Amino acid sequence: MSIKLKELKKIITSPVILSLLIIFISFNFSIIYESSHFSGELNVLNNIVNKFGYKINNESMINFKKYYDSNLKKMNKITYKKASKVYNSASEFFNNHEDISNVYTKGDITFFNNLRVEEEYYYAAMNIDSVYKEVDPMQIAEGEIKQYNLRGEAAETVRSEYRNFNKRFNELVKNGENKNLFFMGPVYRMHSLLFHSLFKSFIFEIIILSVLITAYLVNYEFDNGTQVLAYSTKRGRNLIKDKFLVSIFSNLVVATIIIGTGLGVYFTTFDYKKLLKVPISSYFIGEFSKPYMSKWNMTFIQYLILGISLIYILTLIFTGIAFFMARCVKNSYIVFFIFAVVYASALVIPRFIPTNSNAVFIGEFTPFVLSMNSFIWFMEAGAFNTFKYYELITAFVWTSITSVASICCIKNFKKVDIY
Amino acid sequence: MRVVISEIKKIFNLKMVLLLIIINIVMYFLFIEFNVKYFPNGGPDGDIYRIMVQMQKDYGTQMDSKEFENFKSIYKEKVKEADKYIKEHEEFSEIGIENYNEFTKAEDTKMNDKDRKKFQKLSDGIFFDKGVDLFWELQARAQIIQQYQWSLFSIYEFPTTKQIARIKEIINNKSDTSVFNGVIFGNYNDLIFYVSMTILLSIIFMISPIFLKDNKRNITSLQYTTKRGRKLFKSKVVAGIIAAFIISTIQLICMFILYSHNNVGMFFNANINSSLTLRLSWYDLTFIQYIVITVVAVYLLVFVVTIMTMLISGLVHNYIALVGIQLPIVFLLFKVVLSNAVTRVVDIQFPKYSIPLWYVSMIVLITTLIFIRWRREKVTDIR
Amino acid sequence: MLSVNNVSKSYGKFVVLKDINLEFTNGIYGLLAPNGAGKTTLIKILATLLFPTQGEVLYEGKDIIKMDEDYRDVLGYLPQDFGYYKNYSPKKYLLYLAALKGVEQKIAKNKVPELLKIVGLEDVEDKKMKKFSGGMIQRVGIAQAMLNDPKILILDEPTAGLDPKERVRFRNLISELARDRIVILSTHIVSDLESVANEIILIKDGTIAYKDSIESICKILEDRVYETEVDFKDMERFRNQSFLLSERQGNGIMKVRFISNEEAMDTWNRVHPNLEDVFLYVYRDENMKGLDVHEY
Repeated sequence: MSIKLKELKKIITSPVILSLLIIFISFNFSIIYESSHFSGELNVLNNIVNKFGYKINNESMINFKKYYDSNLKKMNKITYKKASKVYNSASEFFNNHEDISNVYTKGDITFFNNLRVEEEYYYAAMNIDSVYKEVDPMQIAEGEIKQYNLRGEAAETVRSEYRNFNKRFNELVKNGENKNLFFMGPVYRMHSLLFHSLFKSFIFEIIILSVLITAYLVNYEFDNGTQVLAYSTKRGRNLIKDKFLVSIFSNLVVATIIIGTGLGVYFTTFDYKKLLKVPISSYFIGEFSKPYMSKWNMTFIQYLILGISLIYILTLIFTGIAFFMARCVKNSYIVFFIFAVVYASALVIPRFIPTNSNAVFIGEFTPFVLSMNSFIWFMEAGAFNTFKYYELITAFVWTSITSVASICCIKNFKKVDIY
Repeated sequence: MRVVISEIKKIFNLKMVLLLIIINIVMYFLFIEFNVKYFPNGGPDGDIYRIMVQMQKDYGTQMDSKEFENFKSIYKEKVKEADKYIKEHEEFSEIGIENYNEFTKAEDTKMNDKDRKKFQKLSDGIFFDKGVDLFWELQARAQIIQQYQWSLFSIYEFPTTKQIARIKEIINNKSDTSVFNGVIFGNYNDLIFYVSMTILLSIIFMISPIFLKDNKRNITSLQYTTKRGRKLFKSKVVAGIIAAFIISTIQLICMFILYSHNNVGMFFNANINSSLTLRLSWYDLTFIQYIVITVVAVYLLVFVVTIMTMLISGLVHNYIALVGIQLPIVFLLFKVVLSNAVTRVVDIQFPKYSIPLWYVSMIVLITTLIFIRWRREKVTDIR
Repeated sequence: MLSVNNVSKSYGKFVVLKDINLEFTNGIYGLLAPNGAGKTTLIKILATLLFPTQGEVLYEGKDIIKMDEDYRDVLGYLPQDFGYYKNYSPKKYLLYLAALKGVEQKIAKNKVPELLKIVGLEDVEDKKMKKFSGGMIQRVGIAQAMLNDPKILILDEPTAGLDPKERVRFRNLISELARDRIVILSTHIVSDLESVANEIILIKDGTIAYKDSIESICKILEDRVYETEVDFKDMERFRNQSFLLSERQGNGIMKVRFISNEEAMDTWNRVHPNLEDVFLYVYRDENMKGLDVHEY
């Protein structure tokens, strides 16, 4: 145990690792800070949810309308008093480009703006059914097939993939998962902020540190010339097992620090308290013309936890890959670049597979591709990633591959010559 | 200098060169291929490109007001063709579209749901499924006409006095009537951006180990007691710079060979300050002059980055630190420096002398630092 | 002539060398001292790797630091642990160093195989050095030190890793070279110096303890070194009474070599002191019992 602690100490006392960790955490904070200016406006939704709940049904909509109407009246009272004008809606008011700063107080303007936001939510909520009537998974499938120029059995696979998804889609609509309030996607892009910008940042930072830490530990004795001493001791070649386990442990700790600090600041900046149980397939989460539709019925918090778990699994997988590479290529400098090249190649090579065979899908089931699309994990995500168990299969298969490879590496280490 | 050559040979050892080539291949497919293989990229860019080529043939390097009238009349002719097409296809009249003008306005006209769906299908058919060139071409021509006419002053929301003065100058010179386009300009700028990213990455990769390698193995004790002695430090710096220039020159040559397939040579003499580019420069440069300037900028950047890499190489004690320290630097380099230092060298977005001044100060700084390092190396104890 | 004038070296408050004065002319000088005594520091100062905190080193009357490359041109240096490129063959490695040493390419191309032959590595001149044993690497080191036909040859632990046959070969080579060169050998392997060194320099506590020919140095212990046989049971007492230089087991009894100030006993055989005896004596622990010998 003390051996493992001493190996761990090598990491904790490395100024490079610590500095990078601090730089990365600061960088994550800056991502959040850059978007924090509308954290105040987000509270308009929180207020609505507070009053009427997040479920969109007849009852809540009627109450919402009543609330909105009374606010509109209030606004018109003020505008009539101060400018002898009345409006049909708050957006009409803002569309008139008037010089409003001398006529109305700051408080007035905030109130009008909040009303405008409430308006948007109301009309969007009323429109959900018609939006989803237009959503046809089979049409999406055809669009994807066309976009990627898929033919033959590949095209058929996509169609069957979406036929499966269609069942889920119908279930989604039936459950009313889409009819829930959430921060207005197209405006605030909260889903992209959290699951794209922030998660991607987490993942890259964790990968970089994992590769550095693993290569550092595994090749430490060789780099410092102490290999002939260390590997002829009682613990001897088993030391590589310690290094492997400590790498995994350190990388998981690093992942926890990065994710913990990042999400800590994120959820302190943006108030999600009332929205944790909103289904992730809510219409409002969507940011583009096609809504986000999850493969299973899950709430936001469940989705978040699932995403975090997947990041941890990816950490393990990449640690295994880094371990294997560090053992094969003894030079810690080259290991890093080879890892980067392998990563980039895994993203590029799928392009060269002919688009009429099913082989074109295999290239997507790698941790490299998986780590690039964190914002559509577990959701309908185009021709290549909408397979129901895409994420789970990739995670499971690659965890197995890297476990086996790592164990083989360790066994092999027992037999190699050490100079 | 034999010593410099043997140091260069040490930099270009086989394993590193092979890995370098692989890195370049991967960078090509990730970032660069798009800008050379798929140029011009479909519609509307493809149409704009073709029209620009025709314009260059017809009007030369500039399109004056008479030529512009000619261009507009061509447009009118094409609109008539479109009208004919619409009349020949019943689907248009079914939803109340009788001519091309109504077709372009259809997005904003009120229609019932059924008609809206029909229109969407029709529109998709024209632009995507069947791909009727005429309609793409009309869009492109309309865009060119619009851009030719709009005010350069509207490019910047709050233009500074200097920017306004320059814009006035450009209008007076009639540089803005230059037959040149954002599609072509943007394509080159994207290309040089990604290629310089690849160049800098390649150099950092190849040069980083230069000092660390020998320091770590205690070869310095032998090297510094030879006749050449500590002057070897200078030789290594020179070797590093030469190696960097070899690498970047080869990569730039490859880039221009690939770029030649984009067939934009006819625009080389066009002034880059065309109103069709939405990007203005402090100087009246032709496209080829601009290209030369960007290449010079790349070489200057290469010099700065090479010296910086060598400084770091001499400071760290192990390879992990070498990679770890350079990561944030490289990130900043690509995110902040590269996008502005190469493609916006002469852009009026920045004050006229700010970027050249930045180059000068960086070169001065980095040269001073390496000089200080050299002075220190002359008197350090080698324990 | 190489002269060291009042050279001191300290790192902050820690003084490694104090007021060293030495003169070297052609011949073999042995620098003898345990580790940490300042031997390697002195060597590195002579090799221009370290700079003295005080004092100067002159070659032919000129300061070696100011002479810069003119001094290093006549210097050949073999460090204690030197680095090499694993993927290089000794030929490539020596050619690389030859370039740094300013040896003309044409001359180097002939000299390198010659030197490799002298150190017995002609069979492996194109093999990669990562396959070499420690002794072979050491021999490459010796070869490189002679590339520029130096007038000053400084060798730090040159026979480390060499087997007895190679050591003999080395000793012969050095003797041959020392006829018109200054050769400074730093080592603890006394036998290397015994047969070849003209002068021995003993450094203790950062200063020169002795600098003289081997004969004169051995005279410190004249008439005080003995050999005798002792029973196992008497060993403990014996150790407390005299300064043991060596003990050897044989025929059921301990054969000991030792120093004593006392009147010789009948069973004691007086023997000539050798360099190793002096080394052990000079560098003994201060609280050694049974010793009260006047310093020379």
